[in-house]
Amino acid sequence: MTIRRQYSLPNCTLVLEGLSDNPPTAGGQMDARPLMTILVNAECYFSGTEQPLRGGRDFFESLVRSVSRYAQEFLSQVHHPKIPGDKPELVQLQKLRDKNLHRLTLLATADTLPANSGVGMASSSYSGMPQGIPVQLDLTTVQLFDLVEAIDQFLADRRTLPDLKVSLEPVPKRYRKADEPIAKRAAPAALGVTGLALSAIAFFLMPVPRAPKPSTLQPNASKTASPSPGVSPSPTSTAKPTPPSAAELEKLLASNPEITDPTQLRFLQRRLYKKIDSNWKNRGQLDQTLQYRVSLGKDGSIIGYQPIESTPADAAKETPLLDLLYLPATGSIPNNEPLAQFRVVFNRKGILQISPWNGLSGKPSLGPKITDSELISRLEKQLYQQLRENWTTSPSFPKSLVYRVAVTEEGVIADYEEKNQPASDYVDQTPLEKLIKPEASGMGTKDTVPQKSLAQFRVVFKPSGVLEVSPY
Amino acid sequence: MPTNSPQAQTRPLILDSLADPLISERGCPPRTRQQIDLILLAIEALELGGSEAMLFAAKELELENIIKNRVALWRMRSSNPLRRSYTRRPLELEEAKALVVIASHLARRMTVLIRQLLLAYQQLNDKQVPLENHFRLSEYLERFRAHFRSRMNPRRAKVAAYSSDEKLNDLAISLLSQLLFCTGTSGMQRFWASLFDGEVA
Repeated sequence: MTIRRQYSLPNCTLVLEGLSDNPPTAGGQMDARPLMTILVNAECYFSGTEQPLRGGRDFFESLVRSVSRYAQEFLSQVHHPKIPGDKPELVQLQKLRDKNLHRLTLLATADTLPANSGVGMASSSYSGMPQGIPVQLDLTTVQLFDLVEAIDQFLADRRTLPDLKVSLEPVPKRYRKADEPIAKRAAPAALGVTGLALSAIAFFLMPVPRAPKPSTLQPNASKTASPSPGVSPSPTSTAKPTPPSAAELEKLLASNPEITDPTQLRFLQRRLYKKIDSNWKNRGQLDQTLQYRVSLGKDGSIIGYQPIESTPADAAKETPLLDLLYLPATGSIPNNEPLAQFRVVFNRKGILQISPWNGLSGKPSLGPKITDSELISRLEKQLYQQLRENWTTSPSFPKSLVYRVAVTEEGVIADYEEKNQPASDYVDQTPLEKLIKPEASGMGTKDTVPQKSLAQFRVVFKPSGVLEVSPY
Repeated sequence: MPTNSPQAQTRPLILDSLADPLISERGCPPRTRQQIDLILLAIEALELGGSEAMLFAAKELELENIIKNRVALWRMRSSNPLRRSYTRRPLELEEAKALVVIASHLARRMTVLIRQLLLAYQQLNDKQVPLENHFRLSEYLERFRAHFRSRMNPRRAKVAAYSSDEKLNDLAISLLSQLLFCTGTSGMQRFWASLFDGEVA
């Protein structure tokens, strides 16, 4: 027997006809309000319109979904996206802004007939509406509200199609439309474009660089007479603010002093190695060995790089260099900033090699040293204590890890260096990275060389769990 | 009846009907605070003594733990960034819920009036008759404009955008429609969810 449910509002009446697939209760007694689980026919009447909107389950589901979504859009003025991949809704709503009306469109195509057509007789036609022609109704806000309310009353009625639910959830941030006027939003972009143009003009007005002095640039580089074969320095590319082009870099190298102090170069080299090594992710995936001439600022930031030795110009994206490149906020590198240059080789097998471009002009030191032997032996005990307490993981490395560790006179670890390969492979099993505080010795953002005296120790972590600390 | 659990006293059950949105920041986003205050402003324009009614409703709905007095209510509403008295005070979710519950409660009591005004607006618009010809509607619009202008900070760009009577009338009508939706079966939940559209993660 057919169950009929009606939800009446002044401007809109929703009539649902359906069946229950639950058998009548055992005693044969009729349920006063039997559960409707199958929808046969849904009709939606609006005041002032003679023909109702009518359809089966597909029509009704679409009506419920679309109307609920549109109501939320109407309240917040934020567009609610349709769930992607769904077929177009049978019922669609659209705002007619100038007339303060809401246009409801019912698509009536052949494939939109009710899916559960086996159930009823009236289910497969939108009566009174010729197939293929969409029906449109323009609703006032009050009529829209009555439709929403009829649907909400249906949704609240758990005795009618309880499987049909609608969740009221706010849409995520990415769907928010900007509520500021366009002019205001465009201002920063316009400023940016102007700034770019201005800096381009400024670059254009800069004097043409003098030819590099061979003595400062490459005193003993015999292998590469021309610093960058394959890359032709083009003067026009100087207008680009980021990153420095080959020509710009050339100019910088010519005008800026070069760092030649072996100690400073050594510290910069280690810092660069650590930086690139920890950021090189796709090791062993290179088709060929890539080589670069990399220029570093005094603080260790990568100012620029050039591919050398027939390394393709676009191969840098295979390396971490592009990500690590320092982009100066002002758009240009200060003219007097001293630069250090290194040859960086990304081996096809995943091995990283870094060497000073012009070699070292002397023996590098480890910075100022602590010489007081009493202090050194006290620091030695202190360092052992500190490492012992912080080495809490049980060792799972095959060979001894050997490090040079430098501490300040307060006993703070300011620097360390791996002295064998396992030491660099298993450094995260030691507490060194956790304990190191380069700034304690004055090494930090500005200087790469320790400013304070340090005591140097040789530290060995053994697979057996034994820790050894001895003067270096 | 004395209750053993102090929680029951501080957390009114009615607030549970509104779900916590997934917002990252503490308290409500600016647009939420703005919309709540504006909807309350529309209620004040509809009904003389609207703020009294809000305090009374807080008592009726057992929300006086959250909205203790006039000053507390004013301070919550001053979290609307458009206000002259904007205080940068956060609006807690709990407080926002309480205000939405009160707004919906008051809107429901004024359902008939809200419907009449919106129907009148539609008719006047269709016939191209000036809105001033409808006494009750023009009274609402006039009061809304006066409230808005006296309380919102004209130096804010968003407030300056409502400088003309016409723009303010549009805002007042839009808020009136939102109030109509608040009167519905799930109106309170719909309005609450809409306050966080485009704000959740």
